[in-house]
Amino acid sequence: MDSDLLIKMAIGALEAAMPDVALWQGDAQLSFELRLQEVTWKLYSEIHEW
Amino acid sequence: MSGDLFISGGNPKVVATRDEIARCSYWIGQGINHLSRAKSELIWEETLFGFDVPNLWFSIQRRITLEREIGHLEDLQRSLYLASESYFSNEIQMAHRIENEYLSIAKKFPWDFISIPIPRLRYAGNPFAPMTAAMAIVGLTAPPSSAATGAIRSAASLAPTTFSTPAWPFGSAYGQSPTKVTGLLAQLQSNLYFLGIRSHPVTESRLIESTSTQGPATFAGKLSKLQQTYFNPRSAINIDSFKSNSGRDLVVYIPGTQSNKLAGENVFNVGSNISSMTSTELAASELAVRGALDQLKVGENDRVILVGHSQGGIIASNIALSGDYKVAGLISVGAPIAHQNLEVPVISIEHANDVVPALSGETNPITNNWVTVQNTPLAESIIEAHSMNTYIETAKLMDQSDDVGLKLVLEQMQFPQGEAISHKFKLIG
Repeated sequence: MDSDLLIKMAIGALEAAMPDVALWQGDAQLSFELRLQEVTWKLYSEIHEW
Repeated sequence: MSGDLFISGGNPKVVATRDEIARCSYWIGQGINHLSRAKSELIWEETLFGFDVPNLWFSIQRRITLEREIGHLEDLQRSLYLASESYFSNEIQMAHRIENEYLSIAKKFPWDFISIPIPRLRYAGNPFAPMTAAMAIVGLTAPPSSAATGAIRSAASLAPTTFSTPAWPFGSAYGQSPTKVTGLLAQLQSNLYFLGIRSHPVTESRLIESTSTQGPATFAGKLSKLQQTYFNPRSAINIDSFKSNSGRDLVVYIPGTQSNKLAGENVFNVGSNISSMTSTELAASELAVRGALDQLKVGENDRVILVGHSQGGIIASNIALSGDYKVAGLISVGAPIAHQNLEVPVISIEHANDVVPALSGETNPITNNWVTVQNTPLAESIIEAHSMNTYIETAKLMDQSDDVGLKLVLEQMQFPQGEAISHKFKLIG
């Protein structure tokens, strides 16, 4: 399996890890979401064609 | 006396359900697995100038990127793990598990389709009935411990589902949730009424003393003040009145059950316990407390803070929920108020081996306005675990605690201090 596909699968998993807003409160949800998004965007930019 | 307080809620920085944290952590783990695999498959996949040889430069660059992002994700997963571990443990974790998993199964069984009018037959065919009863018996007879409290909480959670309508032979209370303890008690109450056992909550609140006093600055001081309402005379409450910029700050200290009768002159009786847990009728004790507040002509500019032990805590939560007064906060001590959807700042002080706070069958929510302080003191009996003396020892530990959630909720409450006038009311049923 090529690494692009594996990175796409990782992005899919990280999108599933995004917090469910109804179950979080306060600063925690936002800071967790931002840090997760940062990693996701880095991985997007790693892939040539999406 | 144990020195370990377990405090949850009140802190906006760490608030999420345990299952949600587990879910996020699982998917981050999946992401890490994929990236680690991508890293190991890298070396052969890119060609250099059209030739089928590994492109080492690309491979090294991507490897560095993947390594760094895996590191970030591992940090994130670790912080989730730490948050959940520091947040959910022991009793609360157990109770939440029962609530989330076990009860969701229990509530799916359509017992109410089988409406056999004879309760015994219905219970005999209900596998939850013996289990619920066993948990209740074990919880009440075992020495006080968090396990016994857990059993009581589970029994209280399951009881409404197990023994709900139409099992009760006479009457039913409409508008009450059949899956909640409050619904079950409302049914019990309506059946008592049917049989002519009824408290007639007509009460009198008599002002017997007004003295100048100092508002207590510590939790131990507040609870000692609450304890004093039990004596000299019985069936009495204390209201401290402080001057504020807009009007008055009133702190109402309400004791718990003092009489084992269903009705009577002492308004803090068992009948009031049942009424206060249902919304069908005001408890005699609540009516009398409201009477005292009305005598002090509590108006829109007056902030009310309620401090109650046991039944006093339930009454306090009912008053806070009613919206009839400008309630600025509530300190409940060993009281089952988890079922109340309170939006005012709440500090719930509970003992893990005190069964009384578990009687609502639910656990306190973890929100910004509600902090639960739990302690496991050494106690030889349930009564000792529930007593004000034991709770005052816990309050002393709270005074030493620097928990953020506890501090934030106390700040929201703005508990008044300094000079005050203390009004003592005798409540007569």
